[in-house]
Amino acid sequence: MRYAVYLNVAYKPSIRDPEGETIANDLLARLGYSVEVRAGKCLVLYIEAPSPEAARAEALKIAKEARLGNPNVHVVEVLKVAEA
Amino acid sequence: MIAVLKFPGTNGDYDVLRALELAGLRGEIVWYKDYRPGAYDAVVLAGGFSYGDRLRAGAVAAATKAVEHVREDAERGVPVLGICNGFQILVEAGLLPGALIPNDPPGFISRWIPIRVVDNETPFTLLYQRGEVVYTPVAHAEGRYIPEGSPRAVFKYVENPNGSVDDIAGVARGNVLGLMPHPERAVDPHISRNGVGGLKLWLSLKEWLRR
Repeated sequence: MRYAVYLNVAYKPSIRDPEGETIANDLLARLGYSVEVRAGKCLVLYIEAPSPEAARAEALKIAKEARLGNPNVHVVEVLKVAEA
Repeated sequence: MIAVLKFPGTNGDYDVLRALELAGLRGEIVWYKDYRPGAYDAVVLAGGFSYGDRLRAGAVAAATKAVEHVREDAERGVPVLGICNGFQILVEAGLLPGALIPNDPPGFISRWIPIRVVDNETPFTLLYQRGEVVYTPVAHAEGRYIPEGSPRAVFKYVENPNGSVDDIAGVARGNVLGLMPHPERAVDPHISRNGVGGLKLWLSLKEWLRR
């Protein structure tokens, strides 16, 4: 089965995110919304695997090996796994 | 011979070559596929936008065979310098500690700024006085340095332009140095409007290699 694994490369909570702050303070606030925003980068990996769990594990293994995030500042999380 | 390493998207290579010439050093632009370990006296990873900054600045170039070879040379004691995108590549490859992430405040900055030399014991800073302030251009969007552990800071911003922790503009580990400012663009009195404060970096390398 082919799965789409949606990864988010996000900053750790300890790292300030000026892009998210700009969107929150200079765009949303101007429209009257008081909403905290964190920016990330979404990568979709298409993976052949016997199960969604296996696809998820494979995606996280690839992310670690290829350093899709810099472990010093990023966390890589799986947003969803869908049949593709 | 000093290798000036070039990836797809590197654009600071000729500036580095010119700076080497002005310092009386022999340099050669080396395409990343042609880099051979053990062949050079020193290596410079020039600035630019390798691989279009895809994924993150420097992340793709960091995974090339050429950078593996640079790592081998660094371990043998060859001086390695990464400027701007070259610094980002060295950090992404783990040759230098920490991370370089988008500027805070966000955006591309391109201007002359003063930096302070805080360590004059690297192959690239030995002719500077400790505490000496020189003017150099910066031109980057991802220069906010986030340390890992206690890095050996070599250059610090006098006025922090990008949110780097502890005002760090450049760090070293052993004989490997990386910095965001452009010392190769502050060497020629005919085109530099803020002095030639970068020249001593190249002369330092010359002195180091002579010893």
